[in-house]
Amino acid sequence: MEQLAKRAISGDEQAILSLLEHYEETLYRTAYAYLRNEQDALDAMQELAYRAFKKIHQVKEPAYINTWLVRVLINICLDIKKKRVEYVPDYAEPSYEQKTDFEILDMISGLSEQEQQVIFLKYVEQRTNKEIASVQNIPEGTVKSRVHHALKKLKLLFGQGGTD
Amino acid sequence: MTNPFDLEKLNKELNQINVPKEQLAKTRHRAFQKIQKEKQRRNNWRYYPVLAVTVALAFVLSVRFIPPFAETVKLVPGFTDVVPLITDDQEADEYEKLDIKETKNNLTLTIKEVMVDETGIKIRYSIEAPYNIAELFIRKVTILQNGKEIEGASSYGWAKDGTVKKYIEDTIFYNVEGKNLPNKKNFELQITFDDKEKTTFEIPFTIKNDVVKKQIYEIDQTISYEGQKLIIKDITIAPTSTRLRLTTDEGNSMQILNVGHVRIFNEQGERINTPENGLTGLNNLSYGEVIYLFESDAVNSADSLTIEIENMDVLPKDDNYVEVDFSKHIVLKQPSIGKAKFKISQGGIITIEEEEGAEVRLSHAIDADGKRFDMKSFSSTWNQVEYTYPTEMKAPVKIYFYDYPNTIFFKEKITVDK
Repeated sequence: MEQLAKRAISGDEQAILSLLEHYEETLYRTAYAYLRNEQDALDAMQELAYRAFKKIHQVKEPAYINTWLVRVLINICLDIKKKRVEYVPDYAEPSYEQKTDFEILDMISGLSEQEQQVIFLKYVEQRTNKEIASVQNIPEGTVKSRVHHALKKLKLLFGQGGTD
Repeated sequence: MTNPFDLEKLNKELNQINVPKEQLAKTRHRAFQKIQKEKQRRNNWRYYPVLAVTVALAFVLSVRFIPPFAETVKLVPGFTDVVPLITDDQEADEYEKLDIKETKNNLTLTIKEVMVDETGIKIRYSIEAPYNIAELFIRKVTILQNGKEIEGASSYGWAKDGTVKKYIEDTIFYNVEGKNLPNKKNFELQITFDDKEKTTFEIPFTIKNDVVKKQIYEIDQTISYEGQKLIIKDITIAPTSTRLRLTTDEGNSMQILNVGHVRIFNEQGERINTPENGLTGLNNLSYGEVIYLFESDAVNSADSLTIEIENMDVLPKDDNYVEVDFSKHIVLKQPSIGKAKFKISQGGIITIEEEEGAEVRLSHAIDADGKRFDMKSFSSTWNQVEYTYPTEMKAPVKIYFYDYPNTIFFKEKITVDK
């Protein structure tokens, strides 16, 4: 995988395609978790592929390539969500069924953008604080405090929702 | 209460999401196609003044191509008169040694040698640091004369190959736009790196030799398709580059916006102007001419040059713009051909939503007073492109096209024999 990542970073388009395909399940699920609709998630994935072709050379560490993809994808999803809210104010409100299906994911979507990003990177991507700090370009201490605050808020949200 | 750290449940929720594999393959394919189209276009794009004009010299691929015989071939004899002006090792001779060294913030820049002619400047330099600089980017390169920036476009940079580098040699290629460089010998190189300190070097240098004069070779061959004439005007040879100039016939009923491909081969069918070696174009046909640059040493070693032109995008001359009123956020008129969707927003912004496969690109604008304005910036995503124009333009404003999906398909070759 590291060889493939290296090739992708050096601009090998076939390697970029293979890499996107390799990670497509996790990436798509992340996009869907954010956007809750197949078309938007596919739009986000297409934009991710486009940005990967254009910007993947900026990745400094091949080992972090997946984390970079997730970070870019989350930014795209947040942009799509913002645009959606501009046009249809209530669209982002999850339905009752969705809430039941995606209990934890719904709670995560109640966090701030920064908190959502660290939670996805840490618990969906299962990245270490050090890795998150590296891709987010923030100190490790900031990652720790964001995770801490996010978890505290999640606990509170679960408490309020009374889901058990 | 459900534990928010319940990873198992989180994973279960994620696994409930069906992954539409086929659709995802399509999204990748579409993004890939778009990138390919953009790459092809990069060769023809005018350097917009506000854009960074860095051409990262990513890979040098050896592209071999044997041209088919069935194409139209015209022979233009007499190239010999010009080509001997450049001898085999002329480029090497044209470089003047300088070896000017400066150190700042742990970075050492050395201008090793320079080549200067009326059309451009090449600077061979090295950069050195006690740490890995393989991924150190250059933010900006400017060359000045008498304290004034020389108007032009530049290419520089190196490819990342995963190895650690503390010493890098590179060449800055600065193409002069507009007027020829005067025969003056004092210059200043300003170069800013993307390190923590954003280190900028300002290094004056003086050349001993005269600025080399360019040589122009007239070709004047016309390619005509569907009544629209494209003229292969001339080749300009100078040590830093060779330029091929195309113009359009004033009698054309259509405005030729853009040529699909311009490929130049030597007699062995090897392509000289590959996009990968950093060669590119200046201007565009909506300004009346387009200039393609390629390496002079490749011209020198060729016995003949075959210029292959493929396809052109056209629009009727009175229908080759979109007319807008930025203050009222409205589109007043757009080409009757095609269905591009334009959106006008505050701050001189025009956004084009693209249908799949459509390629609409904008060029300059002319306001109600007949004043010409270049765009300030543009950005693109996979399905839309956003351009920003100066806000001081007087409405209504006509914005002309650089590219529009209305193509005349053909392929023609002209061979210039040595």
